[in-house]
Amino acid sequence: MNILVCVKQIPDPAGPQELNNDNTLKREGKLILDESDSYGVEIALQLRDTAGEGEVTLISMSPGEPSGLRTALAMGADKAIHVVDDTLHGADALSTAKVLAAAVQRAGDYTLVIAATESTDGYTGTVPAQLAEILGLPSVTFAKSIRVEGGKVHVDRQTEAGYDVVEADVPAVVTVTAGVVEPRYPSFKGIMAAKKKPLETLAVSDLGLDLSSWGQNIVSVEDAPSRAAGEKIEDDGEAYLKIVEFLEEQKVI
Amino acid sequence: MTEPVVVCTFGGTSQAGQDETEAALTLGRRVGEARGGELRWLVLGSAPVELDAIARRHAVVAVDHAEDAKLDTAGPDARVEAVAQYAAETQPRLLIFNQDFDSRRIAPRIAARIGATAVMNGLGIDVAETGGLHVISAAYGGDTNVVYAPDPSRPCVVALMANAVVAEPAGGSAAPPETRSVALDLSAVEERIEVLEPARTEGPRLEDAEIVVAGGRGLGSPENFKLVETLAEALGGMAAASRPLVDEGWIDSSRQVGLTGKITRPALYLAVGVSGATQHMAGCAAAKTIVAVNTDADAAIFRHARYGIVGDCLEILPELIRAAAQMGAG
Repeated sequence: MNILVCVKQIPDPAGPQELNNDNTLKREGKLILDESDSYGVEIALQLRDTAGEGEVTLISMSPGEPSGLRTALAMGADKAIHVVDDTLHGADALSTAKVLAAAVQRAGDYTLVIAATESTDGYTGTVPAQLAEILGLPSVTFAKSIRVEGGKVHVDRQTEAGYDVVEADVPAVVTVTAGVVEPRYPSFKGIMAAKKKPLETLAVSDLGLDLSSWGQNIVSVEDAPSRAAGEKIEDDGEAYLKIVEFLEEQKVI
Repeated sequence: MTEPVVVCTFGGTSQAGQDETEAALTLGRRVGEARGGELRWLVLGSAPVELDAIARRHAVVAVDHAEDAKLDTAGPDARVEAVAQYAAETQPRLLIFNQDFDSRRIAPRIAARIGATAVMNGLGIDVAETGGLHVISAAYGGDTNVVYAPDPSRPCVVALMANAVVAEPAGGSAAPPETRSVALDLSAVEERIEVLEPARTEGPRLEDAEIVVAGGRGLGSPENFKLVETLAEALGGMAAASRPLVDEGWIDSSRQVGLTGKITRPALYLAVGVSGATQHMAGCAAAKTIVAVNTDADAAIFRHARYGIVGDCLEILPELIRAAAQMGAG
C-alpha cells in the first residue's frame, strides 16, 4: 500500500519566531519536521507495515534544506518530494494546496494521502481539505485511527460529540489529529539510512503551475491578549478555604 | 445586490448554536454597514424556529433558505455544492461561518471550489479605510493573532470562532427580511463519506454547563481524575479535561476543552492541574470566572485566573469536595 504524507518543515516553535518585512515568518534557519506531522508519518508507517508492502512518500513545500524531511525519512518513510521555490514566498493555503496537489500527481499510485489537521505555525487547517477538493478525492477529517480494507478506508473521526465511525472509497485524503499515536524516534540506523533515501527536489515550473499572486497579505502579527490576572496565593494548607469562600460568594455552594 | 455579506448556518436550534449564529450576524452586519454591502443569511437545511425574530434583530436584509433532502443529513459534499451554487448566483464579498467541526470540514473546500480566500480561526473583521477587509485570526494554537488582508478581487470565506464576537442586536426597528428559497440542483451529489456509527450525543453538553471542573496533566494518574468528577458532581457542574487526558484515554473526547474540543462558557471554570496552554484557553476563555490550582507558580493558567492557588491539587481537591458536600448537605 502506497501512502503519501504531506509534511511541513517549520522553524522550531520553541525558539524565537522572527518576521520578514511583509509579516511572513522567517524560514531561513534550520527547519524541523512540524510535530503535528509526526503523527501522520507514524500512522502511515504502521499502515505500510501492516500491509507488508508499499511505500511511504513524503510531500512537502518549504524553503531551505530538507532537514525536517530527513527526520521523517529517518523514522522510516521511503522517499520524499520536496518543492522548493523562492517564488512561493508568502503563498496562501489554496496556492499551497495547488502545489501539493501537483506534487501528489507525480507520485504515482497511492491509496491514501495523509496530512495533519493543522500546522503548528500558520494553524489555518485549510490545506488538506483544499488538497482533497483539487484532487477530487473524499476528505476525511480529524482521524484518530485509520484502517484500510476492501478498497475502503475506515476512520474513527472526531466530532463535537465524540467519535463517528466513517468509511470512504480510496484513494482519499485523511487528516490526522495530533496525539493519536506515539511517533517513533528515529534510530541511529534510521538516521544513517535516511541520508541515502531518494529525495526529489522540484521547482514550481517542474509542476507545470503558474502561481503569480496570493489571496491575501498579512497586515500584522501580534501576541494574543490575555485577560488581566487576579490574585495568586501559595497554598499554606488552607488556601482551599479561599476557593470555598469565593464559591459561597458566587452562591455556587 | 452589491457584494453582499453572507452569514451561512446549518439547520439547528440549540441555544449555543443560536448565540453563535447571532454573533456571526452581528459581525456580518457591522462589516456590511462599514463598507456598504447588504447582510444576507443563508440557511442550509431546516430553518431555526426563531428565524424571523433573529433575522429582524440583526437587520438581515434577506434570508436565503436552501432546502433539499440532501442538506438534512449534514453531508459535507452536498453542503459544499450548495454553497458553491449559491455563491455563483449571489457573488458574495464575504461568507461567514461559525467555526465548528462541520464548518472546518467544508469552509476550506468551498473556498477552493469558488476561488475564495479562506481564513479559519477568525476572531473578528475590521474594514480598512480603503474599504478592504482586515480579518483577524488566531495562529500558533491561539498564541498569536494574525491580521490578513484578503485579495479584494475574490470572495473571502471566514470561519468565526465561538465567543470571539459578542452578539448585539441592531437596535431600531428593522423591516422584515425578504425571504426566498434558493434554487439548487444537488442531483449529482453523492456523499463520499458514509457514517457507519455516529458519535452518541447523550446527556448534558459541556458547552451548556454553568460550572466546569477541568482536570489536566497535573493530576498525574487516571484515578485522580475521579476527584475532578466528584467535585464537579458536588458542585452541580460537569467534569472536563485538557487534551492530553483525552489522548491518554482517561476520559472521552466529548469532555475535551480547547481549540480542538469544546468551547465552554460557564460562570465558573475551575482548572486543576491544567497548565493553561493556549489551545486549552481557547475553550474556556469565555468563562465568567476562572479559578486555577497548579503546583507550578509560573503556569500560564495563572495569567487568566481570577483566583489562583499554587499548590498540590491532590491535597486541595479532597478539601473542596468535603466543603462542597457539607454545604450541599447544609
